[in-house]
This record gives sequence, C-alpha cells and structure tokens, in this order.
Amino acid sequence: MIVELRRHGRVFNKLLVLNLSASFSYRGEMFLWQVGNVLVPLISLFVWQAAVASGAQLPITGRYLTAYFVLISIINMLTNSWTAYFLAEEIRDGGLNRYLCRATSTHINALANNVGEKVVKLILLVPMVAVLALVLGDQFELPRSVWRWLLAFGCLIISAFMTWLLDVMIGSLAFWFADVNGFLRASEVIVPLLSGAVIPLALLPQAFRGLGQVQPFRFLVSFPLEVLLGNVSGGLALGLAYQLGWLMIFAAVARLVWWLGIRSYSAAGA
Amino acid sequence: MIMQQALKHGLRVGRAVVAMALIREAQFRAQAWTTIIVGLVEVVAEVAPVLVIFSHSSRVNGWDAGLVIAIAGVAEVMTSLLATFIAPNQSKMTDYIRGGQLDLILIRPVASQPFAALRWVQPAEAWGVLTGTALTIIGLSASEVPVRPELIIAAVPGFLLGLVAVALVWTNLGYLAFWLTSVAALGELFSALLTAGKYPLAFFPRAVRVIMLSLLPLGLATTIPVQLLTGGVRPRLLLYGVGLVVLLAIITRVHWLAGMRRYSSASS
Repeated sequence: MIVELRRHGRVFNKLLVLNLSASFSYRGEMFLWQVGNVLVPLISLFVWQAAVASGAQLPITGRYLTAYFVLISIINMLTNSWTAYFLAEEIRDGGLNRYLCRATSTHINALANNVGEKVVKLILLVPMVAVLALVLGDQFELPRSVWRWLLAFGCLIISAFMTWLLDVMIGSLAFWFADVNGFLRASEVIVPLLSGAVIPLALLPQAFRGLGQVQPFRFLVSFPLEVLLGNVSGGLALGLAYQLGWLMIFAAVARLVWWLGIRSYSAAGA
Repeated sequence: MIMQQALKHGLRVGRAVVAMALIREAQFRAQAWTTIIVGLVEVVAEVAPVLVIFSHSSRVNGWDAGLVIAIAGVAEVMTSLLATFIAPNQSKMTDYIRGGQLDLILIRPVASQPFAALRWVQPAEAWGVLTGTALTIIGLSASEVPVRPELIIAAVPGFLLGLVAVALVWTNLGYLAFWLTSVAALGELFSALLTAGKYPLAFFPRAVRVIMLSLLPLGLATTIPVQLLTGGVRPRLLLYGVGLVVLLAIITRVHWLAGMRRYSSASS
C-alpha cells in the first residue's frame, strides 16, 4: 500500500512539473480567463451595491458582501475542475487504454493537471484581485486571525477535491452515454447557482436558507469563504461535519461509478 | 441589377447554410434535446438572481422585479441568437486563420466575410428565443406596464440594432486571430461578460454604463429595448443605435481587409 502510494506520488510529481511548464505556455489564454473570473463577480457586486443603495434590507453587511465578491474569484478558480470533459473523451475514444496498461491512473494525471494549471492561474489572478482590493479597500476588511485563514484553507482543499470528485462522476457517465455534454452544461448552470458562486447563499430568501445550508454544492465554493469571513450559516462545527460527510459521500459515489464503469468498458481500439 | 443578383445569391447561400445546420442537428438529436432541456434550466438560472435581489427590495434604482425579469428575457433572446449564429463561427476563427482553413472559404464563390461570420449555425440554441420572449412577456405583465403596438415597433428595431452591434464587436474580437496566436479565450471572456446584459444599465456605475452603450453595447440590446417598450426613453435614441452599428460595420470591414492583407494562407 505504502509502496503503491509512493509510486503514485512520484508519478504525480513528474506530471505536475510537466503540467506546470505546459500551463505556462498558455499564460496569455489563462490571463484572459482570470480577467473573466474577476469581472463576473464584479458585475454581481455592482448589482448588489445598487440594491443596497436603494434600501434593500440584507441579512449581511455591505462589507461582507464586498469581501465575498472580491474573494470569490480566487475561491472559484481554486475549487474549479475541468476533468469531466477530458475524462469522457478518453473513455469515448479509447484514450483510457493507455492508462489501464500503465502502473498509474488517469486520475493521477488529471489531478496533476488540475494542480499545475491552478498554480499558474493563481500567479495571474492574485495581482488582479489585489488591484481590485486596493480600489475597494475602504469597503471591506479581511480577517486578521491566522487560525481562520488556516481553517478556510483546509476547507478550500476539501472543496476543490469534492469538485474534482463530482467531475469524475460526470465524466464517468461516458461509460454508458456517447455524449455527456448535456450533463456538463447542466452542471455548469446548476452548480454555480447552488454553490454560492453567483449569489451568496446567505442572501437566499428565508424559505430556501435551510435547504441552502445542507445541500452539497454549498461546500464546493461558499463554505470556505463563509469560514474565512466568519459568517458560517448554521455554525462552524455543523458546517465542518456536513462538509466532511458530503466529501465521504462524493468519494464513495465517484469510486462506485468508476468501478461499475470500468467493468462495462469495452476499450475502443483494443 | 448586380445588387439584386448578389442579394439573391446571398439568400440562396443563407438557405443552404440553415438547411445544412438543420440536417446536422437532426443527426445529433440527443444533443439537440439536451440543449433544449438545459436551456430551460438556464432560464431558471437567469431569473433566480433577480428574484433573490427583489426578495430584499421592491425597487432598485427605479426598477421593479417585473421589468428586470423582462430585461433578463431580452438578454436570453440576445444570448441565444448569438449562440445560434455568432458563437459557433467565432469559436472556429483561430482554426480558420492559424490552420489555414480560411483558404476553403476564400476560394468559394461567396462573399467571404459574411460566410466566415455565419457559416455555422446551431439551431437548437435558438430555443432560448422562445423562452426569453416568454420571460419578457411575463416580466412586463408582472410590472403591469401597458405595452402599446407603436412602442413594440420601436423596441424590436432597437433590439436588433443592439444585437447586431454586440455581434459586430464579437466578430472583431475574432478577427484579432489574424494578429494573435489564439482568440478562443477572448471569446470565452466576451461570453462571460454577456451576464451584465441581464441587468438594467441603471444598476451600474456611470463609467460601466458608458462602456455598455459603446464598446460592449449590451445595454443597447437589452435595457434600451425594454425602456422603449415602456416609454422610458424616446425612439430618437434609435438614431444613436443606427450610428453605432454603421460605425462598427465600417470598423469590421476595415479590420477584415487589414486581416486579409496579413493572412498568408496555409497552402500558398
């Protein structure tokens, strides 16, 4: 077991270096993606600021709202995953074969790609968010407590892993469906809405707030930010318990779907 | 006479392009149905933020929920028309120019610029025109605005002018592939910014409003038509739209010709 983990670790490190250098060669493209990552939450911030200026009674403060929309671009990017499309392609065109006969897994490659691209994106995104934070400096403040940053970082890692597991589930549907683009598009619409990427979940109407607290998508984006900004709906301990619970469910379902899929995989080209 | 012949030829080409698109869509029926079903989910996603905002306030900068839903509906019509006619072509622009596939367009007996801009059509995306129109009607009814026929006559051309202006801006971004290695990310950025179109101009700071009426004329395609419907602005504003579209059309033509001079093709 330990030997196997070490081998996977070595392969991951090699693939990470490879993905880092590949990602740097697409830095122009990635820069533009990050511009979009900052501008879309900024549009939401303008809209909510207009609502506040018109006398909207919100359950959160204006400073929380600004901090949320400034930081959401970083959280969104770090928890993002794009594995499903590529995994589905590998299953559909038989590209998966090359991993089945190697002493590693396609998932190690996907994780290395995910981490490698995110390192490059983070280098490009942080200066943009810093400029935005400087411009809006007097409208929000960041927590000073170190433990909160550390705890939020831990939750962020779990969120990123959960998003990746969800992507593995969606991508694995290609074992049974020729085209999973419909599932992908549906997830691209539903997940941002329910995860808090579009609207802070704390702003949901009272009737939906309870459901918003327990549903799994909250723990993909909103939760780390709630922890960082010190406004965890339902309490920190309960939130952490929910996140760990959903992580285990996601891991179990992803593993089950993958296992069932591999049994039915007919290996195109073999 | 020559003009008439060119127009007839253009219409024949347009008919063939649409026919081919329908045949292709019929070939991938499951994908077409998925696009339609996801389109319905997208409508819910469009309206949800508006409903959440107005669950905390009855009016925002003079706009009520119904009118903002109407704008979201018009934005849905705009994005679905762009997804039907413009997006599939813009996503191929990098391949056309970098891979030399533009050669295959230039050697055909068609006007190459409109053909490159409108060659590929995705009919299933046009479903959003219906859902967006339904949203607009629901929104206008909810805000109890009496819509008079003469106002519709002003609003429809207003929307079309805005739509063409936005399409021309996107087309120009695509032409940057003559100078850059790839413009795929620019297209994605542009698509992401279309989100701003579903909110009234009045929600944004002045500088953003200026941008949304000139460089990125989303306001012209979404807010202004609804204001024309409700009598919020004078139809005289259409003249500005005409001027902007003419200016953008000239820029697009000049940009294309400059690109053509630079294009070295793959086969020559």
